[in-house]
Amino acid sequence: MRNDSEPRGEPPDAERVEQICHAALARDTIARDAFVAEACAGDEGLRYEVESLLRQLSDADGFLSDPALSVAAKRLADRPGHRLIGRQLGVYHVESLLGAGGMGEVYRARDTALGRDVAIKVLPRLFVTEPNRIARLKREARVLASLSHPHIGAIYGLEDVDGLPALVLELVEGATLAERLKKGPLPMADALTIARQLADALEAAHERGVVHCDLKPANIMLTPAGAVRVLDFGLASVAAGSDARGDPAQSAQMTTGSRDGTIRGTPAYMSPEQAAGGGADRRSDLWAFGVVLLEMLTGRSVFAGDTPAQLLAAVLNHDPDWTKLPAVTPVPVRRLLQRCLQKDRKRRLESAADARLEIDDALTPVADEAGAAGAVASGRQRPAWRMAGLATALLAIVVVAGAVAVLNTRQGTLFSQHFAIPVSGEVSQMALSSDGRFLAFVMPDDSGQHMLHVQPVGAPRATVLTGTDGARFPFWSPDNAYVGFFAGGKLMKVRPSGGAAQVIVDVTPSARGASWGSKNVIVYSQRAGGPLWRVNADGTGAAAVTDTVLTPDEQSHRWPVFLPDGDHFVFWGGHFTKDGERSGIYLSSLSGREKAFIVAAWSNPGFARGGSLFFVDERGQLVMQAFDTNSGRPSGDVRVIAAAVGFQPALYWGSFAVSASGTVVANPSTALHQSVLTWYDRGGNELGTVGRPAIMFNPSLSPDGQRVAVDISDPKAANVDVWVIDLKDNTTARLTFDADEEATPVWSPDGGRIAYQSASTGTKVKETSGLGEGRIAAQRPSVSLSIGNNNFPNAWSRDGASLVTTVESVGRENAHLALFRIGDPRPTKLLVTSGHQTNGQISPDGNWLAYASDESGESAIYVTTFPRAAGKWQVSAGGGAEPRWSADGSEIFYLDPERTLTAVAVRTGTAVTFSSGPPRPLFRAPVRPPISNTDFFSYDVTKDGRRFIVNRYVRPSPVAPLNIILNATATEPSYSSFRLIAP
Amino acid sequence: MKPADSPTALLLAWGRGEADAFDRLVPLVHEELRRLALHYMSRERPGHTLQATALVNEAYLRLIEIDQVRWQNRAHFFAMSARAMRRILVDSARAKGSEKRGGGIPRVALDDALLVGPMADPSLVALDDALLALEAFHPRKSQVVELRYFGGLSIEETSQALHISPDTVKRDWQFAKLWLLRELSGERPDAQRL
Repeated sequence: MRNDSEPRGEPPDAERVEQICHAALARDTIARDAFVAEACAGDEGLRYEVESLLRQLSDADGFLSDPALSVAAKRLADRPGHRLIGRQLGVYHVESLLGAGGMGEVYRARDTALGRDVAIKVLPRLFVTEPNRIARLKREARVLASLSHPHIGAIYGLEDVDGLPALVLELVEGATLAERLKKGPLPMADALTIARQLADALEAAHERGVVHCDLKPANIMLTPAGAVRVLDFGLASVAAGSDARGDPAQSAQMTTGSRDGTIRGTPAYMSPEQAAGGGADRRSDLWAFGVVLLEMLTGRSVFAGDTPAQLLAAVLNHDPDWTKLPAVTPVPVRRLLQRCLQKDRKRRLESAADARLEIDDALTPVADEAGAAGAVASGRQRPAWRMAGLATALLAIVVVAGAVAVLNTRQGTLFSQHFAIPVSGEVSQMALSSDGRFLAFVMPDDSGQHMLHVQPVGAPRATVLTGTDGARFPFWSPDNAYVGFFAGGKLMKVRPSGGAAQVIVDVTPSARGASWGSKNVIVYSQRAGGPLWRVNADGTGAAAVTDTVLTPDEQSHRWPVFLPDGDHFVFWGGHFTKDGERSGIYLSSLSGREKAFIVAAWSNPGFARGGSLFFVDERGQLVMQAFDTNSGRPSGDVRVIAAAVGFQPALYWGSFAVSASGTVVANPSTALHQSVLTWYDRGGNELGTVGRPAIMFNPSLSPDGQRVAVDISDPKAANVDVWVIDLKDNTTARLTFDADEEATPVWSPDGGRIAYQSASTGTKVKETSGLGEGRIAAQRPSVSLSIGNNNFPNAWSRDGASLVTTVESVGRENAHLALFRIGDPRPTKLLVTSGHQTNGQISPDGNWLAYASDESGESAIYVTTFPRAAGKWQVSAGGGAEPRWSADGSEIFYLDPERTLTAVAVRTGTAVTFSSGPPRPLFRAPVRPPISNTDFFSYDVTKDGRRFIVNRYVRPSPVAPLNIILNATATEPSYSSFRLIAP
Repeated sequence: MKPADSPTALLLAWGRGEADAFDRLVPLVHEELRRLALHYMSRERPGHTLQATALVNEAYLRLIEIDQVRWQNRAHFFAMSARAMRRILVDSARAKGSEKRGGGIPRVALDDALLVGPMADPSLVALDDALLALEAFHPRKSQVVELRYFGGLSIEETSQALHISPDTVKRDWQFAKLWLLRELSGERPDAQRL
C-alpha cells in the first residue's frame, strides 16, 4: 500500500544527479550553490541529492588516497604488541605479548643470564615527556625492589627500550582478580583470605612510603598456589606527576596531588579525594581496598555510571548499596568496609594494619562456622577459579576527559567538582534533566539551523534530534521522558531518544521559556511581553497565570522554573527600562495569587533542591543565592559559581542550566551568536566584510549607500544600542546611549534621521548627525493599556512624515502593522489579519507595501496597496520572510525558509494592478538566526539591487567547551578557571 | 617461491574456478601486510613518506605481477586481483572487529574509551558496506573504487581494465568518493529504504 505521508516521490534519477554534480564541480566554488539551485529548480528531492553529495567535497581530497593494503598495514602496525616480539633486549629475549593497553605493553621474556622468565612492561611516552618522571620512576623502582614482599610483584630492573622506559618485573603466573570476578562473587572465606594478603601488601608498602594509587582487581594477581601478588605499586602516582615520597613516619600526611589537576586512575576504584582531582595518600589505597573487598563479596561494581563523569559523581555522592552484602558477612567485616568507604578520609580507617587485624578477627568465626578456613589456608582445596591465564595485567590509568579543578572542602564531606566537555558547535540554550544526567541543548547544524541535541553529561558526543529545526529554550519533563522546546511559534515536545516532535500548544515566535512541573503542568511564556501561562502537559487548559500579579509597569514575565512541588515556580519579571528598579527574580505559584521578590537580577533563574537560586549577575558571573522557598526571602551571601557565562542582553538570558540535583552546565563563551556584516553579489560571491564581528542584527543601509546602521548587543554592559558604520572608512559611531535597549534602526528617506525602537518608550527618532536627543515618535500608548506593547519601526513614508511599524501587543491580538504620523500618538491600524504581520516595506513609488505574514500557517511574502491596504498579492512561493524592495521597484527580495535569498520581478501599474514573476533563488545567505524579538532584518540591499549586506553568522573558533559543575550547591569552588584536556 | 604458488599464479587459478587457490592466497597477502606493518611501526622517524609509498607499490607489485599475465587476460586479471584483495582485507578487518566487540552492544571499557581517539580512515568494513550500496546505483563506479582502492591500480590501469577512458575513470572516482563519503556519514536521503 502506498503511504501517502511519504514526503518524497520517486528517488531522483541517478544519472541526472551525477550530471548536475559534475557540472557543478566544473564551476567555481562561489557560483556552485546558485547553479545547483537553478539546475534543480522545482525538484526538491533532486536538489537535496546533489547538495548532500557536494557537501562532502571538503573531505574528499584525502579520502581513499591511501590504498587499502597500506591502510590495513597501518592498522596492523597500530595494534600494540608487535614491535618487540623476537627481539633481544640486553639479556632478555622477548617471546610474546601478554597484554596491552593505554599504559603500555607487557611482554613475556626470557632472562638468558639467570634462566628465568620475566615480564617486561614498556611504559608509554607519558613517562618521558617530563624528565623528572624517569628519575622518580627509578627511585620508586629501587624502593620496591628492596621491599621483596611475598604479596607484592617484584621489580628486577628498569631498562630503556627504543627511548621508552621498560620495567623488568617478576612474571606472575595465574589470573587477575578482575577475571575471577567476572564469574560472580567469591565465597566469604576466599574473599577474606585474599583481603588479608592485600592488607599485608599495603601495610608493607605504606611503611616504606609507597602508595599504590591505583589498586583494583586488574592489578591483583591470584597465583595457582592461592597466593596474592599486587602489581604496579607506585606507578600511578608517578604517572600522575605527584610526589608520593615523604618521611615514612609521617606517611599519613604524604600526598600525591596531581599538579595539572588531571584525574588519573580508574574511576570505579578511585577515592573521593582522587575523584575530585585532589591528592592521594595511603588512606586512598584503603578506600580502594574497601571497594575491592566489597566487590569480591557482592560480585558487582560498587560504583557505576555510563560515563566517567557519572561514575565520578557516584563515587563522590552515592553510598554503596550495603543491602547487597551476603547475610553471612561477619560484623567485623561490615565494620571494616564502612570504615574504609568513608568519603571523608579523616574519618576513614587509618592503616592497613588495622584492616589486617579486623580480617583476622573475622576469619576465626568463619572458620568455626563453615569449617572451610583450614582448607583455604592450606591451599589443599584448589578453587576452580585459580586458573592460568595472562601473567600480568596492565596498569590502566585514565585521563579523564576534562581537567578537574580541585575544590576546597569546607566541611570535608562534599565536593563540588568542575570539568569541561568539548562540543562541536556553539551551544546556546540548554536544559539539564532533573537527575542531572542528561543535557539537552540548542546548537546550529552545518547550515546554521538551530537544532536540539541530547547528550549524557560528560559524554563526548551528542545526538541531534531531527524535526526540531529552529528549536529554542528546551526544558525536560519531570520524568525525563520528553524534552520540551519552542519552535515556529509553538510549544512542542520530543522524546530524547528521537521520533516525531508533537505540538503541545500554540504560542508566538517571541515566547520566552517554559518549565514542566511534577504535577504535569507546564508554565510557559506565551510571548516576549505579558504574563506567564499554564497548560496541562496534554495540551489542554491553556490559561494565563501571572496576569493577576503583573504590575502596570512590568513588561514581561518569563523564564519560569518550577520548584519540586510542581506548584511554586520562580521566574524573571522585567521592567525594560534599566532604571526600573524591581526587575528581578520572583517566586509565584499556579494559584496566581502570590508573588514574592527574591533578588534583583536581569537574568533567567536556575533552581536546585534545597532552595538554591542561580542567575547571571551584572558582572556576567554565574552566581548562586540561597533563599527560603516559602517566603522567597534570600539568605546568606551570593556566591560566584562561574566567573564567565554567555549572556544575551536582548533576551535577559544567560547560557546555563541547573538540575534539581545541583549539577550546573554553563557556556563560558561571552561571544555567543556573533555575526559580521558581509557583502555578497547576486551570485552569492562574498565581496568583503564591514566592521567587526559582534552580537548584532537589523542592518539598514542609508539611502545614499554610504553608511549602515545596525543594533549591537554588548554582553559586558548588558545593553543593546544602535551604531552607525561609515562604509567609506569602516569607522563605527554609536548613535544611542541610553541604558535602555535600543534596536531596529531604519533610515529616513533623506538620510538625516534614524527611527529605532526603545524598549521602554516605543519608537524614537534621532538625527543621524548624533546631535540632539532621541525624540519619541510613536509612543507606547498609555502605560496601563500597553503592558508588553512594542513598536518596531519598519519603514518611513516617502515624505518622511510617517512610519510603518510592527506593533506587538499584549493579549490575544497578533502582531500587526500600524502607521504613525510622527508626533501623533494615535496610530492607524494598517493591516490586521488572523496571523502576525511584520517587516512592512513601502515600495519606492510609495504606492505599495510588501510584508511578511503567517496567516496561511507559514510565513509568506505579500504585497498590498499603501497607504490604505486593499487587495493582497502573494509574492513568495514555498514560504518567505524579510521582504526588501530594489530601488527602482522592479524586484522584491526575500529569504525562503532555507534562508536562500530569492528575487521576484514585479510589475506595478498606475491603477491597482500588480503582478509578479516566479521566484528566482540567488544564493544561500548564511545569516545568523534571529534570537531576540527585536531581530527582524538579516540583510539589506543596495539601490541597484546588485549587492546585499548580510548579517553573516560567525562560528566561534575554537568553540568554547561547556563547563560542568557537579554539586554546585555543596561547597565553594576554590578555582574559578577551567582547563580542558582532550581525550 | 615456486611459480605455481606465486600470488599471480594463485589469482589466475582462482579465476579459472579453483576455489582452494583463494585460501592459499590469503596467507601470502597477510605476509605482505605484516611486512608493510613492520615498516610503519618505525614511521615515527622522519623522512619516510616517500619510501612508504614506494613500499606499498612494491607490495602490490609482488602480489599482482601483471607482467606474468598475457595481454588478453589483463582486464580480467585486474578485476580478479582487486576483488581478491577486497575480500581478504575486509574479511581480516571484520574478524578483528568482531573479536573486539563480542557481537553485542559495543560497550567499551571506560579505561579504553578515554584513550582512544577518532579514526582517521574509514573502517574497511564500513567502506565495504558502502561500496555494496553504491553498486546498486552505479555499478561501474563501484568497480572503479574496487580497482583503484583495493587493487592499487593507477588511473591508466583502471581504464584498461574497464575499457573506459582515463577521463571517465577520473570522473567516476571523484563522484564515487562523494557518494561513499555521504553514505559513510549516514546522510543519504533514501538509505533507510534499502
